[in-house]
Amino acid sequence: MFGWRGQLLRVNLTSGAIRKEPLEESVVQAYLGGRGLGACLHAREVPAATEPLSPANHLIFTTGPLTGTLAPNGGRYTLVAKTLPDGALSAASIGGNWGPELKYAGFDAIIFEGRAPEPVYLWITDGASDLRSAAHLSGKTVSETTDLLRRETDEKAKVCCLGPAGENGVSFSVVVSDYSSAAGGAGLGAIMAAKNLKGVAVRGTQGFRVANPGKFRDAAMNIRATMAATPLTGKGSKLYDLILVADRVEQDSRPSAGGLARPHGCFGCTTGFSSFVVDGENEETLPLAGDVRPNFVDCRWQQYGLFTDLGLEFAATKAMLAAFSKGDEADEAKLARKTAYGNGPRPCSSRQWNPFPAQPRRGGYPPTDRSGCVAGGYIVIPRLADPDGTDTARHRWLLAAAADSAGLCPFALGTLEADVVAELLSAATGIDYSPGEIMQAGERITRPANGNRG
Amino acid sequence: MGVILITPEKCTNCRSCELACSLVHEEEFNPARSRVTVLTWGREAHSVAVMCLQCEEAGCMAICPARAITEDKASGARLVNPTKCIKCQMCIHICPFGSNSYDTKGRKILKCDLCAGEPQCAKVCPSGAIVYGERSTVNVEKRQQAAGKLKAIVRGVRASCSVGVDNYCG
Repeated sequence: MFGWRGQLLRVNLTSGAIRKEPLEESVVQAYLGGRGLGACLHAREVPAATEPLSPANHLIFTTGPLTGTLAPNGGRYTLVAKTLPDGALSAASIGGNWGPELKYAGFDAIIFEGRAPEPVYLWITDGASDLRSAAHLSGKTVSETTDLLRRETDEKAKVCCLGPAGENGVSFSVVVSDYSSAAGGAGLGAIMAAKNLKGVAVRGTQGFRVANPGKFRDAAMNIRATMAATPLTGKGSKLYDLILVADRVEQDSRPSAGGLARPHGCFGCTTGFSSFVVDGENEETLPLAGDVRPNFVDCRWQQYGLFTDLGLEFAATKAMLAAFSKGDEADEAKLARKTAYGNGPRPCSSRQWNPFPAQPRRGGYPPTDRSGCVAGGYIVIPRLADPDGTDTARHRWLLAAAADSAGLCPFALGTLEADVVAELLSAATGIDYSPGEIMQAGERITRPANGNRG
Repeated sequence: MGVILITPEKCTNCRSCELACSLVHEEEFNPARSRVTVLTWGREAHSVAVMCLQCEEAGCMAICPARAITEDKASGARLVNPTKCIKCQMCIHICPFGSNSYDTKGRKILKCDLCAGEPQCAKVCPSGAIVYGERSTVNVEKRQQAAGKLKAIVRGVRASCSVGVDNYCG
């Protein structure tokens, strides 16, 4: 098997048993990986009526065949589980470095079953794995947990973990990897916490091969060059005001106290920006940044850092603060902390669905597709890139589903078309994918029965 | 003959250089077997690409007891001859940047060979943090930036002199 590692890890948290299982070739060929694979495995193994917070719910981490490769923006992995309030299957895609590291350690996916009797974390290194007590990590923030896990395992380990918000059952809690990349929008922090799982640390040095290295390199280099040359991410483009916060901060001559001094992105990010987005007077609003003007970038960065460190989803937390905080930023920070530690306003409990949804998107995008870094707002980007609407929203949605499942970041979708995804996938896996088959995979992945309520 | 120029403040931690390097040399995606390594301080969101800079007075070349490291005149790279190399790893110990490493899987020294004059890391780097170019011209941009800053400062000083509010310039 090329592209995929061909192996998944099944961890029964109740008994502590860990088992390696082969990946089914027919399944990954059809569903690629990511949310497609995760939803397929989940739907097959977990009864539809399962309560999200019960031990019977599975929490599945999946990568795609292009995760960890030279494909542009190929650093994604996905979390899949039944989520609150109604137990619908949800997927949240997330960046950082954790997904590629899992593949270098020898696995495409991890399935967590049951509930650990006491808080634990999983340590994976080059094919070996170990469940360890996380009792000493309870209540620790994301950065504290990440630092401690790296100290206990390997300084080079990549860590995804919960902050206190997840542990305290906040409905809009996130799972965070590499300190700042958050799987938001589906309240997966609370689901992971219900399993008594605080985090997963991974270190991999094994590497993996693709079917046709020469062809893959050419295809990846070509599309990277196209992306670099495209006005989508360049200065002066329509999207410039919207996306390149990091660049803007760099241009800003003021020293940014604790903020970002330059772009610092995810694994494989060709576009050089982090997924933190600002909205000027543009007609579309991305959830993370709906309320921000350029001059507030610095302070926003600090807020994003604080909320993420606590394990709170940014957009929902902002909406919650708008409803409950009358004060300034210091007051907002105080209330966010209280919420994360379980003393916030009553509607924040995980027993209810997130009462503070991000601002609805316009443009006809299916509002149910909630996967993505901090609520999936990125799907608006291709539309802005192509305002004439030659691509239908549905086409983009299906393509996003396939690319997402393959392990690509949908931020790249302004330039990526089905033929490029097909070319990359074919060179990586050795299976001949046509652009039509990529769209068919998108159809398959987004089928309602396959759990794409988001 | 070219030279690698690393600009750490442009590095975005995408690690594309590691992937291109391991793909070209080892035919696999594996940062652990790359000749270039991105070191990251995740908390501070900082990262720096570290790799062999092909020192003119290369310690690795001088110390190699098997004389296995030689200069490639065409590319300017210091190359390890794998048939001569006795894997004593002295070149790893002596490198002041910690650039070289030992590949336990392939049982060999991992040292940048500039990809025969077309370094793939520089080709793939999306932000210009790793650039390969002619020795005389590769750092022109940096020089211009520094000169620009000096110009701004000098102008500022002159402006404050001409206003003469507090006779700051004496």
